[in-house]
Amino acid sequence: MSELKTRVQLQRSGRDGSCFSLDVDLKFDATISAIFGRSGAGKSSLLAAILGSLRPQAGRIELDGETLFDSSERVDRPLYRRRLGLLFQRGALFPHMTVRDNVRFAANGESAAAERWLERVGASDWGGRRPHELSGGQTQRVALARALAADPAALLLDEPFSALDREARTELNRLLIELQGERPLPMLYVTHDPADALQTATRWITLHDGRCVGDGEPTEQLSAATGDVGDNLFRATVKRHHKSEGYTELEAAGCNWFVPSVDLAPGQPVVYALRAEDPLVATRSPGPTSARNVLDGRVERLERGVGAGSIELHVALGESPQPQRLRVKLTSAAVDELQLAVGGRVTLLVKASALLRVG
Amino acid sequence: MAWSALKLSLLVASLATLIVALLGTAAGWLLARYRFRGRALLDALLMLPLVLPPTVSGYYLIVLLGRRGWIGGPLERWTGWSLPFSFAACVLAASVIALPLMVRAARAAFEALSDEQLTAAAALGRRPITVFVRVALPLARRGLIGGLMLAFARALGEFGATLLLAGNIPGRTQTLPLALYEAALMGNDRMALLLALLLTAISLAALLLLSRVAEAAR
Repeated sequence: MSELKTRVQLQRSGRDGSCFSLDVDLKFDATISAIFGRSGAGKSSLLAAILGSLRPQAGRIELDGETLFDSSERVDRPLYRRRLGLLFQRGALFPHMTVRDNVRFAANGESAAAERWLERVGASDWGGRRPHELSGGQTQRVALARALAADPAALLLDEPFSALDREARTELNRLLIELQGERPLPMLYVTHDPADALQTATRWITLHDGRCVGDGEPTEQLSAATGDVGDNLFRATVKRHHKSEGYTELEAAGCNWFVPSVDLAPGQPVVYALRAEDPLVATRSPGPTSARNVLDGRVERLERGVGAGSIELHVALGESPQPQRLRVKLTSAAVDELQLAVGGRVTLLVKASALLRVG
Repeated sequence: MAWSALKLSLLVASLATLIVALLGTAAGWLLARYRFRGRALLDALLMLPLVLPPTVSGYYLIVLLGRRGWIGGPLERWTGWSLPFSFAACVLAASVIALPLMVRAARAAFEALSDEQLTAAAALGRRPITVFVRVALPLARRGLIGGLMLAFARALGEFGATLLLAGNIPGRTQTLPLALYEAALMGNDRMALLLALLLTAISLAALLLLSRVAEAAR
């Protein structure tokens, strides 16, 4: 089983005299790990250190038992001997080669292998095209095929799909999960979009100021990492379809959600966003309503929101020991009127159409 | 006179362009993609022939490679061969004068390449030389062709350094510009005009041809 170990300490001074330091010790096994953080958090520096384009002052990087870098043993392999696959935001295909030749270049000139990879990512039909004739999503498919055709021992993805629209992005994330299942590799998925991380990763690492400040299961890490993100995000699985009514039923942490129909088989993972302004809050069961989602919960916390008179309500839904948590924005007037307090029971009403699929 | 000078000029300019293509591309790549000690000095030295009068460059070549030169002296003692007043001297003089143009063009072309593409190529497990030949060179080809175009035209018109190092021996080192100089000096106006037109026509043809090649490479 492939494994990438990175112990990296590096300092860098910026042009403006500022000093940045990265100090992490992380071990990646053959799963998809999301590396999350704001710009300047150290994501790119970490990748650059693994690639060898930034040399750490101290540390050791090991892939599959082979040393790529070791400051004390003075080992520093050049990039072409590191067996790393790389996927950039804009694909970085070679514009002077056809799509097929791009992949063949990676497959050491083997046409059959190149064709297999093109077919695997669904790009066989465009083999003869030039990169500039491809859409963004097509480009990234080919770039993925090219990266894997070189038989890397780990794959580094630097904001790989963030230039794509939501639909193409979701599709490519799905392809990535499939490829990971077929050939497990450590995949480091750098992103600033929590939806990407929730959809693909089994591990979520948050970097802040060059340090690892969060490392664990994605849903668990999410709330800590995205305190300033306006939307609620959650991972769910498709439970069943209610075709005639136009709804799909999802399950997330013991709660059922109704969303507008999605074309996915039961059991498939999905990621949904819900704006914190959207749920309606009641303190008693409101009886029949038009909202498809009526969920009981308990107030865990009340916090002052960003705007004047704005309160953020943290609600735990359902009875599960690891409940789904939602943030709900209310005005302080509403909070007073409902006499909301920590520990109080509430009912949330959410229209199906307020739930937005993001992964 | 015109015919032998034309043949010689074309041969000298072509060989000089070949030499400049190899050296200039390598130097351009080095200056564009690597950081090393003495880089600025190397850059300045390579650019010197562009700003110095060609006679100064030619004079330095004599000091270095002349029959009593630092290198030329021992060379003649050991091998019996001397560079000045030879065909090789014409090629060398033209190469030195044309080199800065190629280095400039190559460096600019390589600096404009996307780091991501070169990094991606290296990450695919390909050695630096393969990355250079299969990715960097084709991607930089327009700039490189432009550099070659200028280098050829400059080599063809080279006069001062050639005169100092190679002299003006008809049939041997007398290139078109030198033949023109001699014809004008002797008052042979018809010959001078013929040679001037010939030089202009070749230079124009070379520029047109290579700009078409550059267009096609787009």
